[in-house]
Amino acid sequence: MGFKFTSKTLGVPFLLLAMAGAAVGILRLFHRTTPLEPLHSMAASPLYEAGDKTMTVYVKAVATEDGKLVNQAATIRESKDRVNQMKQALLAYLNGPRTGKVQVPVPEGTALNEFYLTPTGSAVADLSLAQVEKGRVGFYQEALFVRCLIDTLTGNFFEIKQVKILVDGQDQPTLFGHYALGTSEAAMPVTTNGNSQF
Amino acid sequence: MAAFPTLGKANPLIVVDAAHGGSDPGVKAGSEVEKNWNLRFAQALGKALEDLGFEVVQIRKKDETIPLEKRAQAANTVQASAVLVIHADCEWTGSRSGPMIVVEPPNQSAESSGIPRWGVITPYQYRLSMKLGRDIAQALGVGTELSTLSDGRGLAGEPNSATARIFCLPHQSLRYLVPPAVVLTPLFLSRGPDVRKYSADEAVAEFAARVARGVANYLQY
Repeated sequence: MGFKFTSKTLGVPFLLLAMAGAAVGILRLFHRTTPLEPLHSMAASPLYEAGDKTMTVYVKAVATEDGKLVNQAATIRESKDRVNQMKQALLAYLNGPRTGKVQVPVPEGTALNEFYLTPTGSAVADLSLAQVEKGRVGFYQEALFVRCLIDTLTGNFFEIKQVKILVDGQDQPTLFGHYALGTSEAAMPVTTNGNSQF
Repeated sequence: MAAFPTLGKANPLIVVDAAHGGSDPGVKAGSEVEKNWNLRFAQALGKALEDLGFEVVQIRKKDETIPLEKRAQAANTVQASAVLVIHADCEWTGSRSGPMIVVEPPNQSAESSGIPRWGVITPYQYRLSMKLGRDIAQALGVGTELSTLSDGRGLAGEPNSATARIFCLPHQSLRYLVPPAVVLTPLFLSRGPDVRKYSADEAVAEFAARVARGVANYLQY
């Protein structure tokens, strides 16, 4: 007795296919309509308003005579949004003094693409290094650059528990080829003040 | 526990890795190029170690490009007692001078007696590397305390100072090494007196001999 393609035998698989399709459709609809919580607070533009008061932050820099890390006062505007204050402090560090007895260890050409803070207190600094002449930056300066960046953020803003550095939106193993950046929270090195970079 | 066998070996094997090379010049300061200095120091160090009876594996013997993974693979598969990565440095103020020693901080919180794995630096491995770094620093006649720039995982409870020569910091050249390992920075190319001093072959040979003595002390060889 041979198998026959009848309307009955074809109907079952079609029914199953239709049910699967409907299930996928419902899932996609659910996925599309479920409200997503914001993952992070992005620094907004403008960073401050004309009427905002000034405030002092301390940018971590290097005393060129002995290599010690020192605090260099910088003035920013007291934006209503703390994330905007943080971004201003980071910009004050990146644009800090490059001559004189106290200098920031920031390689020329370093720029900030974006800055944001996650709900768990991770500050994310997305840098652009395209304009940096990498052959001039060795391990020591790389280490100083990362340390002073972390200390500038964590030293001024208690909300920041850890700092993550991206390059053009991506995780990178290093900034300039030497100092090893972590790639996940699980691998975060802890800095001396108890904060972290990963 | 002894994941890095040294005792009982007639001639402990030391890996010397001259960083950068070929299409990767490393840092530059004027006409000074890091890859050339690294190779020069690595060759001198290899000779000094052999003079003391060590077996030596040089990862880079000429001006060639060797990817980091290949370097780690070569260093991790020869049962080395220690790995010395040579990295001249450069910084923008021109005030920092060598030598400088970098030790990778532990990235695993619990003590582990398991099989060493790439990318996992156990506290045990860290302690061995730190002892290697300190023995080399002592042989070089510089302090054995840690730099205050060091990572908190290695710094806790350790004597430290801003001018110290040993740095416990994550270094791309150390991250995937399984044996005890340090990065050794003989000089800063941005520092004129450093470059002038080591332009003489005798100074490079003396530096290498001291480092080799430090390695011998570490291995009690």
